[in-house]
Amino acid sequence: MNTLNNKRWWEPYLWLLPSIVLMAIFVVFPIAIVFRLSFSEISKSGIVGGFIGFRNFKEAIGLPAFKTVMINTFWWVLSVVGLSTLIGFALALVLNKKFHGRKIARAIVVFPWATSLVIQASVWNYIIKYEYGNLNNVLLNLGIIKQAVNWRSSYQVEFIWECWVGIFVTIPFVTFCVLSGLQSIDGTLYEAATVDGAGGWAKLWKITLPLVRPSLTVSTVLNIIYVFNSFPIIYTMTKGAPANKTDTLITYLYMLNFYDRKKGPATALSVIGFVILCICAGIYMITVMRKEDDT
Amino acid sequence: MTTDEGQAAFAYYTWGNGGGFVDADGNWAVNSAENVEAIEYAIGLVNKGFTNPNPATQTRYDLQDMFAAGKLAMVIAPNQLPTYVADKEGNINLATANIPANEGKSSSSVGVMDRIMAFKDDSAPDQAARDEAIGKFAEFFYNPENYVGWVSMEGFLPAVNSAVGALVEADPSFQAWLDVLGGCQFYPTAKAEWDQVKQGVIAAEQNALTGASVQAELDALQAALVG
Repeated sequence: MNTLNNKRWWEPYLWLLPSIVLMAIFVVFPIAIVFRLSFSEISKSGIVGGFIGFRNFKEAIGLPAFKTVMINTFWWVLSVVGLSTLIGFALALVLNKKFHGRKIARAIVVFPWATSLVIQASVWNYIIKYEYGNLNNVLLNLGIIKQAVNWRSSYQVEFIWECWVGIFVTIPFVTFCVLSGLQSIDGTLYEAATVDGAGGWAKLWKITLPLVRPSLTVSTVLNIIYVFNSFPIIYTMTKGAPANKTDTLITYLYMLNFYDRKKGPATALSVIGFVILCICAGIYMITVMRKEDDT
Repeated sequence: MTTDEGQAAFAYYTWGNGGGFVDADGNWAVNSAENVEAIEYAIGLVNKGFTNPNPATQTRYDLQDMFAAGKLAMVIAPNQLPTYVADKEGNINLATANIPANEGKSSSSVGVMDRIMAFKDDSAPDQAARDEAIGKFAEFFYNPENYVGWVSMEGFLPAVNSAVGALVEADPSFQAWLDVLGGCQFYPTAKAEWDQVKQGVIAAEQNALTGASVQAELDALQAALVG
């Protein structure tokens, strides 16, 4: 058997080769190109010139909106990932219990995830519209308000609405990640805990959370990546207006490239975003995996 | 004052106050006293509640829909609006008027245009034949037989007088728009810094909506343009 394995040591690599080639062409190569472009002079029409060192990065970081955009990105990722994880986890606990209509409830939870982000953001735009939005209509008809409310009274409020839409569309993904983890937990553990006198909270902290941690890790890491790179919600609802005050890094670099035609700083921002994402996702995974190894 | 078309709002108010993007010599003059006064006036209208409440994010398409539904009394819109209202089966009485201007200043409409361009190519083997081909294409395109149909389909105003008669005969209401054409001003899109100016005036308006000084914003943009 050992002789056979040594002779066929190349076999796993052969099966991996198509995936490696596809990843190299469609992932690694474009990333390398973007890195190269970020250190190059690029004209408004996209003609690439010579190497210019870190000039694009200095220009990008020196832009007036950079600080605001980075702060927005931080709050965007923290609020959407954080709150969707909390709400999604709670929803998964509910959907894991047996009740009439559970299948229908699970199907309904999928809808926001299955619908495109542009449609979701457009629908929420209509809901909160001042002149004819559903929210004002319903509240006026119920007599809760006497006149229409401007639900987008300031850019801070508009950003909060964008975060809410992000949370709303992310909850289903977290819910089903956690649900798959919950369904793999052996029920006898809870029975044994009940016999030992453990209450609901004790079971949650001592049994559910530790065993669901791998699913939570996967959903959190993937969400950090998806949410950080999310474009449609903010672009549809505000396009970063007014004056980039509701922009995150991804929407801002898009505006910088296609509206302001500052292609050099835009590519520098993509590299900055890529590095930040790698560091955040890496730290999170290392920290959580270390905890799992310790336990 | 949206991210896509805020330069139009800048044009409406500044041209109506005798200002604009450039001075009489064609040099950038975005921070002129007339421009500052005009934009401060526009921001004042928003702050006093005389306009739609979210001008930075509410597009004219939204406003046109509300106008067609009879929910909006007045809107600045392109010449396709009557057709748009009719297509939406909007049963409203509408009339057109010039964009308001300050006392003693003349009203200007905003003209937008596409360009058909031919590029110089010194490497072409037969320059004369090339020039002839370009001329033939231009004659073909602007021949009323072809041009009138295309302009009608797009809802544009004609760029040549030879098409005017046929268009007015097909739709007499077109004459009102043609009368305005003479008073149109156009964006200085031939200047290399135009896209920087366009985004710059939009940013200036949107920052002013959140409390920034119009003078400071336009001064900063002017400084960035002239170096």
